[in-house]
This record gives sequence, structure tokens and C-alpha cells, in this order.
Amino acid sequence: MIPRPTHALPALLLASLGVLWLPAPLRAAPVCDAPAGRGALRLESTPSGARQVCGLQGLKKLPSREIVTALPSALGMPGEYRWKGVPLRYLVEQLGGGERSRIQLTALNDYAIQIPWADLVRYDPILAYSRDGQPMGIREKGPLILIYPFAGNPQLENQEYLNRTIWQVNAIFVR
Amino acid sequence: MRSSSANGSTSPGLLKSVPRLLALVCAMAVAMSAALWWTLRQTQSLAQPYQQSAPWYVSSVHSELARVSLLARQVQAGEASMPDLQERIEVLLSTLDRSGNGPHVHYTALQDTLPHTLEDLEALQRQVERWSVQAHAPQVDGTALTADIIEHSDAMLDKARRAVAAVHLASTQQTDQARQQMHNGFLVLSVVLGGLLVGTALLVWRLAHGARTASALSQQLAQANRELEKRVADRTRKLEEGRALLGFILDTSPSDVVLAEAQSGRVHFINHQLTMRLGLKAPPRTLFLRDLLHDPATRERFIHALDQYGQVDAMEALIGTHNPRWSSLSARLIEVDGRLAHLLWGFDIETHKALEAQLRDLATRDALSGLLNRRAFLERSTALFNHCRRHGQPCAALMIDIDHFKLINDRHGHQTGDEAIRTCAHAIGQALRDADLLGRMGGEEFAALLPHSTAEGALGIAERIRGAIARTGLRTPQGEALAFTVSIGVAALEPRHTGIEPLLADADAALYQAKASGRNKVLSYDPPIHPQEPPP
Repeated sequence: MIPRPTHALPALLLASLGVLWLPAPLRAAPVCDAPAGRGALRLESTPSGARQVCGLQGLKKLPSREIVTALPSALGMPGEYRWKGVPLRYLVEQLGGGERSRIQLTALNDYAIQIPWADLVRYDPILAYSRDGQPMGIREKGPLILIYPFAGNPQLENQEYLNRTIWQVNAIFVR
Repeated sequence: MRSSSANGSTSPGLLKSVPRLLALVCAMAVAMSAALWWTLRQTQSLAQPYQQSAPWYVSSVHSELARVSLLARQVQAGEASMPDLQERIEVLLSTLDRSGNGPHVHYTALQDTLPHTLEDLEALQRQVERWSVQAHAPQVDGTALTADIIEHSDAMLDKARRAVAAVHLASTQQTDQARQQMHNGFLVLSVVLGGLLVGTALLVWRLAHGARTASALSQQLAQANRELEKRVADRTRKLEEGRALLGFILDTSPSDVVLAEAQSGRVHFINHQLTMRLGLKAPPRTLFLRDLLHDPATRERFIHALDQYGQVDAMEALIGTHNPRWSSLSARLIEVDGRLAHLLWGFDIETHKALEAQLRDLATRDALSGLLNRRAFLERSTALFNHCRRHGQPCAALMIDIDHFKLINDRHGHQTGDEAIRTCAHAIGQALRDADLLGRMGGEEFAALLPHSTAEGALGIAERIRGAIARTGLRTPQGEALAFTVSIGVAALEPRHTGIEPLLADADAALYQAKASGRNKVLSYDPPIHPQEPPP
């Protein structure tokens, strides 16, 4: 019943950002290869000053982990799936983030949520790019979705973790 | 008596209230079950969070539609790229998605309350799907697509706004209905809980009342128990006293009493008298009746009778081992603690036996000489004679008579006569052997039976007697020496003697002969002279 807070950022700003980050000098080593076409995930970090865009192909080259779990029924998508993706902790650490960082994930529909560092340590959620070996389209909550290991962790079955299970992820901000 | 009346007043009351209490508890259980069922149902429905709701759904659709509309205009103006528009259309479609992949929304509720709004949304979805197909076509006609979007989006946005308002209103109503349901549910739950509280209070009151009653009852019970214990103790004491008295009676009784197990000989009771009789300082632990009886034959007879008939009455026997005494014994074979036991009563008849012996002596002995009297002599000599005759043994009889006894009596008095008889008896006794039998036949006449003696042997003995008496003589009361003599007739057993009498008669005949032929002599029986010899 808790309505998802909506930050209705203007689409113009979103588009113009794409123009802004490209020429910015990279002050840290890139987390992933630059995408061939349109990027799937934008990474921004205050500590390292990194600003870069990753494509799905680039993400697939990073260390990955699999989580086999069903999602809480409120999220739809009934049934158990094998999710594969990059541990969020890896990405945050590559961006120079750590215990004191504010980690924020944003979705295509401008939904945004903060993920506490403790979650990354305790549950090690992944930014999944495939479900049962198949890439996910936008209509299927893709192309990137943050997956917590709900199986075996019943304490995760509450609204807080439903909110943190963000889909259609398109940006990560580490401050 | 007080306790019984109290019981009468309380227990039926308690019993009567049991069904009512049971009904109350059952009702409480039913109410609790119903409340539990309702609560569990609520818990179940609240177990899973629900992410989406209709207002969020329609407002998301509205905002995404607005973004697509704006982006289309930007693309048309060359400020945004076609892939951006494609992406936004996909996002809008995913927002509209009502298949299983989409967020969970109560579409059915929407369908029931706002069918027109749902139709509008479905129309929108169809439109957006068309746009999506166009956007992903190999030959994208960007201009036509953006124009189409710009043309239709305003009207659709208008509908979406109205849908947001309508859904918001419907949703608030729904929420309020849910609130009312919840409110009513909790009201009912409160009533049930209140009822349970009242029921529990009632039960607690009953329990307290029951506890009070139980406490009173237990006090009465304890009182009754104390009284009972007192009575038991009283009876036990009386019983003990009775036992002690009985023991005292038995102990002080002149009878001997013992109760001992037949097999093990374990003594259940023995009185002081018998313990003393057995020469013991303390009552023995075990005692067997057969050990008590002195004489083996009597012992066998006694035990046999006791085993066979279970009782023995007034049997005379010698009891005791060291100093046996005569006792009249009665015994019973009884069962004590499941085992056979002998109960023996003995009455000391030692004095009685002594008196009996004395009486027997008086009946068989001659008071003056101390010898057997005529009857006793005849009785015993008959037995001895028969024994000798049966075994073919020689046997001889002597008849002895004091000479001129009448003269002694007349001249020197009866005292002297008695003295003469005593002296004579003594002298004869000295001469005879232990096996020989001697009796005073009356007056101054004595008879003796000598078993295993031939006529010659008997003659020798008779001669010794005669000589001894002739030598001894006696003294008168005046102190004068007085000589006296005896005559003796001897007869030996012969085949014609069928009894003691003929033999004695033969000896008597020989005595007669001796008297006749001058006295102070011994003569043997001589058959030929027997018929012709006249008395002197």
C-alpha cells in the first residue's frame, strides 16, 4: 500500500546527461568496457570521480554470481528462476565505494532507492542481467534487476526488500 | 458426624455445577476457536506485502504516457533520439503490462468498480503496442510515429488523468470498506475477548470456591483421619494389653505351654514354666516335640497320633532330657501363618505319679515285711513260672514257715512276733538272688520262686536260709536273746506242673513233711510219700 515515491525527472535532463558525461575525463580505471552502442547502465561515483556507461556485453565480462530464488508474490513473476549477474558489491567497490558510501540505484521510470552497505555484505545481491540464461526485455523488468537471495532468507519478505528489489535499473550512484 | 453433614451439603452442589461449567468452557473454546480462525485468516492475508495498487498503477501509466508524449515532441524537434523514444515506449508498455510479469494489481476490483476506466486503459495499451511495433520495425518511420504519438497522446493523457481521479476515489472507498470490515472484525473480536474475560473470571471464581470447599473437606478428612488413627492406636493398645495379659496368664500357668512350627521347630511361644522345666535360662529359638519326649516308644506313639488325628489328649509321658518328669500331655496340630505348628499343653503329674506308685506298693506289698503280699506274689510268680516253663528252664519253689510262731507271740508279745517276721524276711532276702521272687503268703509263712534253679540248687539255698535264721535269732523288748527256727519245703518244676499252684502245693506238702518230722529242717518234695503223709 506504500506508494512508490516518484521523482519525475524531466526526460530532457536525462537526455542531456548523456551528452555531459561522455567527454568528462575518467579519473579512475573504467569498471567495464565502453559499450558499442547504447549503454545499459550508468555508473557515477563521487569518491573516485568515475562517470561511465556500461553495456550489457561489458557487464557480462565482469565477475558474476548466480542466485536461484523465487520472488515474493507481490512482485509478480511467479516461480523459481536462476538469476545471473554482477554482485552489486563488486560494482560499488570498483567505484571506490565502501561502508560509509551512499549507494543509490535508479530505474528507467525514475524510481530510485538507496541500498545500505550492510545489505551488500550480508546478502550480496546481484544486478542480474539474465533469467534462466535468457536476457530480459524492459517489459520483463529488464534489462537489469537487483536480486536479493529471498530463498533461505524469509526475513527478506517484507515491504522494505520489495522496495529494494529495483528493476529496469539504469544507473548506480555512489557518494 | 459433623464431617458427613458437611459432605452432604457441598458435594451435590459441586456435582450440579459441573455440567454448567463444562458448557461454559466449551462455549469459551468455541469463541476462542472462531477468534483464532479469524485472526489467522487476517494473519495469512497480511503475511505477504502487496506492492502495487490501482492508484499507483494508473498514475504510473499517466506519468509514463506524459514522458512518451514529451519525448515524441523532442524527437520531432530533433532534441532527442529515436532509441530513447523506443526505450520509453517499452517502459510505458511494461507499466501497462497486466500479464503475470507485471506488478500485482487488483484488476478484477478495477473491472467491477470502474469498467469504463479499464476499457480506456486497455485501449491505451493496444495503442502503445502499435507504437512499439512501429518503433521496432526495420524501417522506422520516425516522423509518422512521432506525429501519431503527438496526435493521440493529449486525448489519452486526458483520459488517463480522469482515470487517476476515478481510481483514486474508488481506491479510497475500497480502503474505507476495508477499514470498516477491519473495524467490525475488531469489534467482534473485542466482544469475544470480553466474553472470554467474563468466562475466565467466572471460572476463577468457581475455582476459588472449589478450592475453599476442597480445603474444608480436606480439613474434615484430616480430622476424621486423626480420630481413626486414635481409635486404631487405642485398639492396638488394647490388643497389646490383651496379648500381654494372655502371655502373663500362660507364663504363670502351672501348665507347660509351647507353640512351635512342625517343620522348622521355630518357637512362636513358650511359657516360663516349660523353659524352667527344660533347665533353660532363656526361651529357646527352636524346639521339636520329639526331643521333648523322653521315652522313645511314647515319643513315636505321641507323634504318630498327632500326625494322624491332629490331636492328642491327656497322654502321660516323661518329658525333659536331664531330669525327666511325668506330664499329662495334650497337643494340637494347627496352622500358624500358613505353616503347620504343634501346640502342646503339659500338666505336671509327677506328684500324682508318685502317689500312684505308693498306692500300687500298698496294694502289692506287705506293710510289715516289705515283701510282696500273697496276691502280688501269685501274680508275678505265675508270669515267671510260665516264662520258665515255656522256655524249658528249670525252676523251683520254696515254702518257708517260722517254727512255733504262736509260742513266740504268746510269750514275748506281738512286737517280738513282728520282729521275728522282719528278721526272717531279711534273712531270706539276703540268701536269694536278684532274679528270685519272694512273698509273704500270710501269717508266718513265706514263699519264694527261684527261676533257673534245679532241685539241688534250691535245696542248697533253702539250707542256707535255714542255717542263717537258726544262727541269727532275735532280741525281745526286754533284751533277752531269743532263738527261733524255720522249716522249708522245696519243690522243683516238673512236667506235670501246669501252673504255679501245683508247684507251690508240692512245696507246701514238703514243708508239711518237714514240720511233721521235727521242724528246723529242709525237705524236698517226694511224690511217693505225698499221698500217705498225714499232717503233724
